Amino acid sequence: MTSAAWELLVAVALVGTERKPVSAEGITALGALVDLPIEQASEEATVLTAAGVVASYRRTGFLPTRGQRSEQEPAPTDDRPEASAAASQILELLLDGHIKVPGGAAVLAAEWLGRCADRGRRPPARVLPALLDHGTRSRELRGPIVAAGGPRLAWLAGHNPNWAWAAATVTATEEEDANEVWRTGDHAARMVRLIALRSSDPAAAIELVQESWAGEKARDRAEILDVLRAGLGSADEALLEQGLDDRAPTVRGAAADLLASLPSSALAQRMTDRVRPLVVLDGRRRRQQLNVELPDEPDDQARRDGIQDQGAPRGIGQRTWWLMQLVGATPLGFWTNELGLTPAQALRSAAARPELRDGWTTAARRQRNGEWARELVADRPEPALLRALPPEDAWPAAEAALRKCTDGAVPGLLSSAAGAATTPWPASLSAAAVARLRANKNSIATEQGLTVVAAAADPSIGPELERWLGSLGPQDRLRHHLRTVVHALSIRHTIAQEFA
Amino acid sequence: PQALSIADTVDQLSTWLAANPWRDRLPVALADTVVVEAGGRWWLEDPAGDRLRLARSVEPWMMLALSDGQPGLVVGEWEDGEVVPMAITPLQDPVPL
Repeated sequence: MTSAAWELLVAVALVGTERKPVSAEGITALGALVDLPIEQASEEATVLTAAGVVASYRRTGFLPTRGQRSEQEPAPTDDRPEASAAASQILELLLDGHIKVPGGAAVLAAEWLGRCADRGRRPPARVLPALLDHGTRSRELRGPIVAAGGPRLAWLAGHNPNWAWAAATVTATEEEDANEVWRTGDHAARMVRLIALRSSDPAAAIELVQESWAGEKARDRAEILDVLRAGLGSADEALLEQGLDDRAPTVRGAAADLLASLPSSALAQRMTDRVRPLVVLDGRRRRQQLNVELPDEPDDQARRDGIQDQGAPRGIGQRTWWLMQLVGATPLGFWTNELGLTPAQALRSAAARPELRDGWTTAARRQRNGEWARELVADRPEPALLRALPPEDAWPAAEAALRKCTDGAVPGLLSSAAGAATTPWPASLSAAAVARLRANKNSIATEQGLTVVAAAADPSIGPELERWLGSLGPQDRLRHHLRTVVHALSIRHTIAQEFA
Repeated sequence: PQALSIADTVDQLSTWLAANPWRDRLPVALADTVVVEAGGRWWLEDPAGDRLRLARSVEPWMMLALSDGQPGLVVGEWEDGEVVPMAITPLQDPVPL
């Protein structure tokens, strides 16, 4: 009854009673509905009064929707105690963008999350949506977010398709679920799943990849190979060897790079066979002189193994470039075990051959060979090498290198030292970095270096920086930047204390 | 207001509106409700299975995060047949929804 009246009223109200006159029966019906003494003469009054009454009736008479009761699982419990109120407030400010620090607040947020997870605490529930939004935008935060967020974050992520990257890791704790995510999930969820599986069970990860490899897009194939870099082992060789014949150049390049990182691979053996005829050892033991001839043009097999014409550093000739690539892909054991040279001997006898040094540097980085890396770093600090060293070697090496390197090279060196580990530097390296920057004459390098210090140095170095700040003149261009670095370190100091 | 079931809340709203139809926003306090998704919309649902629609302008994520999917008290405004939540239990430290 009312809905018919309502439709009539809406139709009339839209165009007016002049254009859409209400019939006599309509007026009577509306009048009866309203049950008020309405003058038959005025259509308008009838329509408006009826509209008021029917609208109120409709509003007051509504009923709630009643459906099947939803069967929604509540979040799993998380027994970890919540982070302290002070710590939680810092995280909220970091996520809101209220804290401006050099290098961005994300680095500090990552440190917060890492310390939180390490101490067996959990972030408060109110930051979980913001954490998931941040992780959706920046991939590098996803690992720390998932670790700190725990089962409640994963449960929440399951409700929003944008957050699938965080949901997959925990709903897929079971092997079968994991495989299901890999077969049917979207790109982000699949990659998160693969990264997690690769770190827990590298062999299972490669099996999973082999199953779907033929159907993957070229871009995904390259990204998958990038994931396999972690936990690389001989079980991966078959797939990588197949990758050398891939249609996509990026996939071929990545496969060759990974096989060259595996000293036991057939590719590494083939590279050794290419280098061996070029090597000439003169002189007696202990006084041996190493000479390596330049190679001829690579054959098709060598090109399949990743030797390229392009990509030579400036001023390097074609044949020298081929040699650098060959040495970079040859197992370092060839020089030490087969030729009987120590890394130090090899470096000494190749003093006039920078291309050999560069090749060994590439090989040490790829094969994560600490013995060679230490020797190479001591000889010439190469930022890329610091990342190949375990932190306890990388830090002293960086400290030593700080004394030798040019002013302009300091920031690169510091960021490599920061990349060697996710934990802050020890106090001695932190102090050495600040002292070196204070003596630095290159102001751009000083600013860049300070940005690294803000994120990676031991927070206890703060007072030293404040003394530096106090010594600057009021017009000094460095003042502003240095103040933000001090600010960042004081926040990091508080974070460390809250999770002490 | 006292926390009510959804059915009682709707009765209460009708009484208020009948007394004063010009009100367009009214307070609600819904007992033991969970946030659920159905038919592409988010709803507040109580143990009887009654549902009130969450306003389109409201994102459910904070409510889900704070409640962990457990039933709780929701305080808010009723407006145009939908609920605009303002706080959920625990109320000691209210967070904007």
